[in-house]
Amino acid sequence: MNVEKHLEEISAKLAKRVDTKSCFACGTCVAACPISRLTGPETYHPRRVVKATLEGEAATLLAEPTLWLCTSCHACLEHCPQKVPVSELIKDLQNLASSMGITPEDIVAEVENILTTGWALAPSEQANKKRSELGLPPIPIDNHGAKDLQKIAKATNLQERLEKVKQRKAEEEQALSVTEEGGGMS
Amino acid sequence: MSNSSWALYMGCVIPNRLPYMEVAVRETLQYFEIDAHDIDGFSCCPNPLTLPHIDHHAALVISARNLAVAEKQGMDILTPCNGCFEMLKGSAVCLHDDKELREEVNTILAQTGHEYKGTVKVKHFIQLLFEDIGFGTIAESVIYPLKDLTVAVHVGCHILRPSNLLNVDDAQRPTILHQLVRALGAKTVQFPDEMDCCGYGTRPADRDLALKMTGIKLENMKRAGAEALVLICPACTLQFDLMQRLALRDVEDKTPLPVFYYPELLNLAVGTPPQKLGFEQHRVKVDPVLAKLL
Ligand code: SF4
Ligand code: SF4
Repeated sequence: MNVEKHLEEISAKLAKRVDTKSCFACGTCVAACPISRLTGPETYHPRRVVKATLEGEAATLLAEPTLWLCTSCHACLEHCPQKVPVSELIKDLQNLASSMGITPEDIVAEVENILTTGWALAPSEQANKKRSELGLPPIPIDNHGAKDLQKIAKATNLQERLEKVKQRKAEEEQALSVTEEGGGMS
Repeated sequence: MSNSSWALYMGCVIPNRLPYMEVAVRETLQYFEIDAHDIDGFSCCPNPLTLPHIDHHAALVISARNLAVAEKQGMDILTPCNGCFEMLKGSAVCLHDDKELREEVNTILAQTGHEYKGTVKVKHFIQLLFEDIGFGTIAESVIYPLKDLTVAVHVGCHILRPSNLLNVDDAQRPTILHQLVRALGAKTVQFPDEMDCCGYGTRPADRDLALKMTGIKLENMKRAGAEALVLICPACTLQFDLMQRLALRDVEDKTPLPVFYYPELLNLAVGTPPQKLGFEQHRVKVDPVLAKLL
C-alpha cells in the first residue's frame, strides 16, 4: 500500500472538486463543528485537515484517533463559503487510514456484522418479542443479501481493508506481549 | 397526491430497536391510503456512519444493489430512517448524474446478478407527509388538536445534509418539522444550537462525547420551555430516548424530557387509538404528556 500515492490522489481529488486555493482559512467550518466546540479546537479542528491535505501533509493525521471523532453531520461542508467538502475529505482520509489497518473497533464490528447478516442490526429474538407485543410480524430473514455483500466486499477494497485492520491488531497484540514478557524477565 | 408506488425501506434500527416507530409509519400510510409495499431482497443501506468510512466505494455499490432491487419491481423507495435516506438518496443522485460511475458500479453488481439503470427516486417518509399529503390535508384531518402542548423539534442531520444531494429543506434553518407539528395544533420552541448533531455519529469513536452532546441539547430544549421533544429519526431516538438517563448524568437539570416520533403525534391527532401505538415501549415515560392530551 502506497500511502503517499493515495494521499496525492486525495489532494488531487480535492483540488478537482474545489479550487486548491479556495480555502481562505476563515474558520467557519470550525465554528460550525459541534465536535470542535465540545472538545476544543486544539483537539479537533476541521480546517487543519483541509490545510494539511492541501499542503500534502495529511499523512500526519492518519494515525490520530481524533480523525474518527467526526460525527458526519456535514455542518462544515454546508457552511463553508468556498464549498470545500470538508466532511467528505475527512471520510477520504478515514478510508486511507483503514487501508493501513487503522479503524475504531466498533466500526469494524458493525461492518463485519453487515457482511455476515446483511444488516447492521440482525434480527433477534428479543426484537421479535417486542414486535409481537405491538402486533407486528417477525423480521423476515433473508441471507441472500449477505452473500451479495460479501461478493461486493471482495470486488472492492472493503475485504482487504478489514483484513488489514485484523492484521494490524494481531501485530500490535504480539508487540505488546513481547514487551510484557521482556518486562517480566528484568 | 403522487402516483408513485413505493417500496418501503424500513432499515434495521426501526424494526429491531424501535418497532413502535414502524407501527406509527404503517398506521399513517394506511390512514392516508399510500400505495407502499414491503418487498424482498433489500440489504443494509449500508449505515452511512460506519461502512463508507472504511470504503466509500463499496458503500455506493451496496446502496446501488438496493436501488436495483426496487427498480426491478418498478418502484421508488420510501424510507422513514434519516441514515438510510442519506445513503440511498445520495447514491441515487450520484448514480443518476454520472453514467461512467454507474457503469463502474454495474461491473461489480453483475457478480451479484443485479444491474442498476439509474431510475429510482428515494423519498423520506417525512417528505411524503409534506410534499405528497400536504400540511393542509394533515391539518384538516386533525380531530384531537394537540393544544397547550409546547415541544422542541430535532430534525436530524441526515435528512438535510449534504443539501446538494438531499435537497429536502433549508439545511441551515429547516422549518418543515416546525410546520408539521403546528399543523397538529401544538407549539414549537427554538433553542440554542438547534441544528447540532444528536451525538449518535460520534458513538463508535467516543461514547462519552456522544452522550455529552445529547445532554447539552436536552438541557437547551428544556430551558427554552419544551415539555417534550419531537423527532423523525431512529438514530436520534436512540440517543434522546434510550440513552437519555445516561445523557443527563452530567448536566444540572435531570428532569426527564418525553420523546415522541412525529408520526405518533400525528396518529393521536387524527384519532388512532393510543393503545395501538406502543407508548409503553418508550424508555422515557410519556404518560405526563399523554395525560394532558387525551
Ligand atoms: S474549509 Fe471553508 S469554512 Fe473551513 S476555513 Fe476553509 S474556506 Fe473557511
Ligand atoms: S462533519 Fe465532522 S468535521 Fe464537519 S462539522 Fe460535523 S463533526 Fe465537524
